Amino acid sequence: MLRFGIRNRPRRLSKAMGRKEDGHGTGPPGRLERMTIIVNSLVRHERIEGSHQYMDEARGYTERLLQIAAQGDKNHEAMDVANYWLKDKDLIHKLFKVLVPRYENYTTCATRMWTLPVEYPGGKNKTSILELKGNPWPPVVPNPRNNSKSLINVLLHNAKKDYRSASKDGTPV
Amino acid sequence: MVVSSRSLSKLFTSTSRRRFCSKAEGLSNAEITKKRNELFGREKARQLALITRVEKIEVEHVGPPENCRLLMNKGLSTPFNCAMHIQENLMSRSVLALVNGQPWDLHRPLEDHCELKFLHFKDEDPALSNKAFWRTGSFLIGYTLERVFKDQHYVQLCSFPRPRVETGSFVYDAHLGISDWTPSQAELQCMSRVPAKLQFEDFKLERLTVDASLASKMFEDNKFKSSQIPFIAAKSKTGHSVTLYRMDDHVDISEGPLIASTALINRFNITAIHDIESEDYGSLKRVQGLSTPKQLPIHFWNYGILCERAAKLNPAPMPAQWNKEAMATRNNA
Amino acid sequence: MTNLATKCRNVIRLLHRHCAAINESLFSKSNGLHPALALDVAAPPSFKQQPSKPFSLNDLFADNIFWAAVPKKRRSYAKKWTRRFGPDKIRKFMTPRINLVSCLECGTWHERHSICGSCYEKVREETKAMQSSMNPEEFHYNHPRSEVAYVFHGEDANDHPDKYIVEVDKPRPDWWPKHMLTKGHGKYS
Repeated sequence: MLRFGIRNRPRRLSKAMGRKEDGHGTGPPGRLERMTIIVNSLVRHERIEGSHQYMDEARGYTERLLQIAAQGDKNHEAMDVANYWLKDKDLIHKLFKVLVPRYENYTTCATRMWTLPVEYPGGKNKTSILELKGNPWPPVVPNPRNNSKSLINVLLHNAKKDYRSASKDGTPV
Repeated sequence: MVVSSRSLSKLFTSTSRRRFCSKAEGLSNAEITKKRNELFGREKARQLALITRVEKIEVEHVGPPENCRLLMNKGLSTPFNCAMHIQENLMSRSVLALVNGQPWDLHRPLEDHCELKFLHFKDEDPALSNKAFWRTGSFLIGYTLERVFKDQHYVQLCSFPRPRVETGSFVYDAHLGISDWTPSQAELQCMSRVPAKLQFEDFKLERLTVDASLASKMFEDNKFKSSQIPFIAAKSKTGHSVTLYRMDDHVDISEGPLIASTALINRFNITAIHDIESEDYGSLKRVQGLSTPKQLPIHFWNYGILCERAAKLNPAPMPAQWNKEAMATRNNA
Repeated sequence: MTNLATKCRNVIRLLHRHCAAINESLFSKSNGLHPALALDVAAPPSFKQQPSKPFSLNDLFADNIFWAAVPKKRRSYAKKWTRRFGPDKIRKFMTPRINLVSCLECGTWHERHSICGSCYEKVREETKAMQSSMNPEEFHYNHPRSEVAYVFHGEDANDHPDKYIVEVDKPRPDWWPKHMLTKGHGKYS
């Protein structure tokens, strides 16, 4: 079970599927080839930027790869899958020795995506950042805001407190 | 003259009230509002005319979008004018300004060289903005009460307590000329329409510091306020000035900074009217309300829950008259 | 393609009765088809059997160009202008964008769902600087087989035992979140 939502059908990714010189598309194998390149890149760099559609597709594959690899490198199936997905063979070592122990106790998914801004007037393809959690780089949002003191949150927090103390006492809320 | 609280309470009990009812003199709520507004306008024009020579002050703006130095007019330029020079966003979202670290109304003229910061509701620590918003809520309940009854009942606003957001509602204690009235939900909703419409009007909340004598004249029809004014004036820096705020044509006394304009408000509800007994002022009505700002959207369901909580009696202290003993202890504290 | 050829042939038979002769010199006859319209399949046998025939309506109507879509009616100027300058084109630019917010840190405008570009710019540069401080051979071809710790100026490498240390030749930027530098005391940290 993956810990985040995925689309129930694969995206067609026409640019990946139409790569040959004779004008024909490479079809689903071409799409998968592009996915392996992205997953490979992600495992190496731990944070990559690219077209949103490709990143979103690759995210599912990365998660699944990490899930399968969690079975251990002695597992024949895990090694096969890793061998297919990671074209650079030094990354197979990284996968089993670094990433799998890192995500062993995670209750959330292992990747995160952010949407980059599009320059005015827009109309261009959305670009996104796909990153593995626990990477050594500075966080994408260095100082996330703490909104607990905003007016609405203060009102709601106190309303909650009131409700809980009232329901404890048994007084009608 | 020291007035004991017992004799004061005699002044304001229902039996003797009739002696001081302005309705007997023929002035209605609307006429009183008009009178106050005129006096305010005249005083404001007079104070503006005192500035004959325009001096320049240096204002250092700190914060997003950029730190910059502005050359503004002393006694005339407001933080809002500074925002006009910097970014439209600052104009529309700013609630208060921090002038040399002190909270300052956005439409209050700057007096000297200073460092300027703008506050809004989405700051990391919006405590000042929240308090100002709550205070404005009380102010707007006063506005509502003086309009909504039209000429049928003579409303005398008493006072409102210090703003505390944690209580879930803001409050105005007033003497409505109605006895034996429990407002129904429909009536409260009707009352709420008056302040709720203010979000579509960009009424600025203007501040003016006036002499206590002028304030007494403006509020001579309101027995509660006219007895409070000497004490408020004594507490001020000069010893005889009172801070007034005007929005649209409603004028009221308030100490602290209020928000910049009614366009910042999103929803406004008068949630309840409770009967309270004050030692000094007799029986009054505690009118409670709830409001949220436009910058912080809230789902109607959540807002409904907060309204239900705001309908419960606010635990703020009863309105009390200050006397010299209380003032002394306050000053010493 | 066979189906199409059959259909062509049926229509040709129909038209044969109604069409006048057309100048055959317009068309070169290599295999009965115009070179520009060569199909990527083997030509149907019936066409190949008549390579030297001077002209035939079969050849003429076998060309795809005659089956090309063609406008039936002249486009009125109203329709033309609506297409070029009408609501579908203008709406995109006339509707106010209400999803733009000003970044609370730096004031730059961006869409609500995206991160602030100027705030991220410094993060991106820092990431690049950190990545380049590792030996490029190692980073790209022989990635370390343990967790990597980047040690800036003034920091102690001994704080990161069991990690592959990479020394970065600059001080840690002051906007780095403090909670990431303190050691946690949780079960997994």
